[in-house]
Amino acid sequence: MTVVRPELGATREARSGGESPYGRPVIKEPVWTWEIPFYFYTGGLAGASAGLAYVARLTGNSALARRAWLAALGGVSLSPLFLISDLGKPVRFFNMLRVFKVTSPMSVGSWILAGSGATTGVSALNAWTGLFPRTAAVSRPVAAALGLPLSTYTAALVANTAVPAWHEARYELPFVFGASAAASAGAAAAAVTPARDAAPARRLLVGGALVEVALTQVMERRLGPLGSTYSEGPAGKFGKAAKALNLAGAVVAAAAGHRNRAAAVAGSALVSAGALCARWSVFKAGSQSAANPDHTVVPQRERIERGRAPGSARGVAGGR
Amino acid sequence: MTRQTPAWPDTYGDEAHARVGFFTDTSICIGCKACEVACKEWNQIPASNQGFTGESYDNTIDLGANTWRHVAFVEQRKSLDAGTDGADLALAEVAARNAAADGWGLQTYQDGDGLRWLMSSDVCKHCTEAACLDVCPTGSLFRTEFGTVVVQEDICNGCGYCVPACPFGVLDKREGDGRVWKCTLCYDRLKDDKEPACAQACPTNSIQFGELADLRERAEKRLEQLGDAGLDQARLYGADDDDGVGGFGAFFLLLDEPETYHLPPAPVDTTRDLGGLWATTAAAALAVGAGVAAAFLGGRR
Amino acid sequence: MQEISGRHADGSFVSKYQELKDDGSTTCGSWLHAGIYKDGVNQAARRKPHTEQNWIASEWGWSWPANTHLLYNRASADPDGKPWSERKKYVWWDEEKGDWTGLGDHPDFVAGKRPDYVPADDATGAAAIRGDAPFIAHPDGLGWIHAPSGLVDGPLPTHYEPHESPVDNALYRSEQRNPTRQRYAHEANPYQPTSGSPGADVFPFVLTTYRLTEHHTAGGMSRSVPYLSELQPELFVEVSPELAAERSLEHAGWATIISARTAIEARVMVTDRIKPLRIEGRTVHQVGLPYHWGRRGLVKGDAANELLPIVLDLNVHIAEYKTSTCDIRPGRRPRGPGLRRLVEDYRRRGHAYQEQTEPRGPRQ
Repeated sequence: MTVVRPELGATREARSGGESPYGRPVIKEPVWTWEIPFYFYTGGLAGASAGLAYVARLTGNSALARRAWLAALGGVSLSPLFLISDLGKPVRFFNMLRVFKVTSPMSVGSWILAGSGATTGVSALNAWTGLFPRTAAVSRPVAAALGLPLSTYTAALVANTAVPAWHEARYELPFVFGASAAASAGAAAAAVTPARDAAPARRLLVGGALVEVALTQVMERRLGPLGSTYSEGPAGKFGKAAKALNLAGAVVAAAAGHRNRAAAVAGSALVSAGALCARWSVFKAGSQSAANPDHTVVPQRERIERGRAPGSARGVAGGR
Repeated sequence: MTRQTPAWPDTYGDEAHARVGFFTDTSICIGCKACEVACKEWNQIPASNQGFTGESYDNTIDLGANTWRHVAFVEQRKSLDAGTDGADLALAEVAARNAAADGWGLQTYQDGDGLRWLMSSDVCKHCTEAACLDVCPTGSLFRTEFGTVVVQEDICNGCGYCVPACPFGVLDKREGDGRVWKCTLCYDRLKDDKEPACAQACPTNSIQFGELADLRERAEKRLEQLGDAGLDQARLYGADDDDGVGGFGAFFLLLDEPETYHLPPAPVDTTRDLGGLWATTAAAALAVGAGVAAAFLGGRR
Repeated sequence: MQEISGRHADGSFVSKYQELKDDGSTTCGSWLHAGIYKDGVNQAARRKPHTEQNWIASEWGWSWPANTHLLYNRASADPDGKPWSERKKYVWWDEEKGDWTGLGDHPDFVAGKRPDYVPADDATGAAAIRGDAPFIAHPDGLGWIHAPSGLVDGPLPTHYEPHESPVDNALYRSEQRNPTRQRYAHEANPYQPTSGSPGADVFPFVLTTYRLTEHHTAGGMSRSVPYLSELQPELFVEVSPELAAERSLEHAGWATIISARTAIEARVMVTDRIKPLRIEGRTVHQVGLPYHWGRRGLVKGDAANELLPIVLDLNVHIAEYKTSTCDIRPGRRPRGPGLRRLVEDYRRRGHAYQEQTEPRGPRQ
């Protein structure tokens, strides 16, 4: 009679696959620090704000346009600073501009940031001082155009890794980040623009916040077992806060933002906080997912079993 | 013919060498850790004492910035199910138990349970399709004329993107230094026609270095040999060009599933999904544009 | 390697240890390895395949001393220097050359010494060994199965239990332990009672010490090397899951191992590699301790050898380092006066004794 002994020591029961015996992680957690969610947020804010400013000027709403350019300038100035601060060797940040690699969202993003920075800067300067009108006439549409990928490329950055909760969410994350960016831009502009000119910003705030919350739900559902990462641990705390803040801010802004300065500012603050929490939630989910060997091993083993992926091991009998 | 990589050998022209790598035959690893020590000595890697881990004789745990060869120890208990509890066994039962023990390569058994101790020296796989190289935004990570993947430490700015990109968890940022470090396949020794330090130090030739095509042949023969000896748990890991990373430059012979050694069973270079991801990102960018434009429907109030 | 191999005063390489002189005209790092760099070639790195030389394969690698593959190979020839059999010839005397020759191995004998050589009465050293005595490391050149001299304990090996053992000697009912073993009377060296004596159950487990790959003997040299120290940083004790359950030991936790000498602490490694022994119908557990740690170094830990009794064999005075008995319990050990109290409690309950009061009787 064989005695089944509990796993109380260094010796483990031999199994036929699907498990990492000592429960150790298979991949590495990202080494990025607290600056990164702020880098995401400010980049998104800058990208969508540039678009908001451009269209505002086209519709003759220069009050909104000016302020949106300022928000864009603020975002596009801070975003690279956060990224540089996170670098292991910040002094070497310019090495990012040695190459342009389409296989690296961080490379592509660095160039987008550089281009956005220059064009947003000129556009904002012109919007407030009237200087360089002819250059600004070119820089405005370029900044707006670059602003679109600026607001979504960071999703490609995180999804283009081996982290299961990120990589498997690659269909939704760009839209989630885009919605978050739009909400952030709307919130920033609505807080500082006179109510009579701020309606498009308020609409962007509300629409962006609601779409973000909805898409995040869809993403978590579709991810199945991996999706629970977004509702557990620190990622879960930030995720819940994001949903609550976004919804609350959208309600406040929609209900009273047009008549009450305080309400407008409150709504903007709530949604901005919500958008930031959403970035933090995704950021934390990366570490949690990487630290869990089951997230890596189980889906891969399932894919092999279903014949959907070639495993990397080939046995004596030729099977995997 | 082992697979070409995107940046080798064509871009090197005349300077290209035959692709080299490792065949690590874990069936003859004795767990001496000479490879770990030789690697650290040659590359002057800082020591990093983690204390007693309780994971058998492995106090290193995994590859990282300061560990480029890591010997894993996995103690496995396998129930032999031959019926009795150690009292007198009929010859037939002993034979049945022996057959089960041979197939698993068990080293001892007592009371219905067999025991084996797997030892394996892990290393950077120098993938044909290397995610770390693909995502590096400074061009620090590059493909050498030997087909290996190396970090240029004078360029790396420690952005850390390669760390979560690697499907094996090989790379990591070095504390106090800021840059990412990993196995170079002893690039400096290769340039002097020497073999890597770990391969030279390995006393059993578990770590074999050479041209990848030769190593693949040797590995097939070894797999066959083990199969003939009845060790049906043996398998090659990373020896096929059509796996998720296009085959490994440093591949293995394992005696169990990869996950038993904390290795991913079906690793994939994330770049394979990047085309679709860029398309999704572009679509999302356009959606943001559409959303911004739509916000202006309804006037400025 | 060249330094170890040795050179003559003119800089040329030594080819074998027999060339070494005691007048300062040669240098050598290790006489056993003299000649490993003979002719300026790394002899140990030679890899001439066996297909290109005879079965002795003298040109593959290098074997100490002096590339001798079969030690005492003079014994392959009879007292007259002829091979004992044509089929098994290996080394033989060549009268014409006036020297030993053979199939290719280095003849393990003084070059040129005739098979009928008889030493003078006052001869010393190698010159005192006859031409028909092949075992040149012994003073009389003979192989010893039965040792007529030089052994206090002998002449034939047999089995005794160690000085401290939880089981009876199955070979001799009346002699439990080696009656010639050297014991020491010292307050720091109290002994534990052997199997069957009162108090033996206080130290019921077999204690055995052994080595790890990463450290070197008692660790003094390896605990100062960072790359070795990080591989095995802490003393640990290995126990079976059954003993862990019996004594409530937690894997990766701490345990205290106690003998009559002292108590030490170690991290716990619960493993199936340590198996309970079944001896004469009962279970006897083993406790395994690597002995590489000490108070100084990059990594520190208690010294396992401090648990052991000082009992020596009388021929070469080597102590019983490898096996003894002990108790084990969970948790770290006390320090200071608490440690003393713990050990004294065990001594009292375990009827530990110093040598001069050792009880006499049929079971020694």
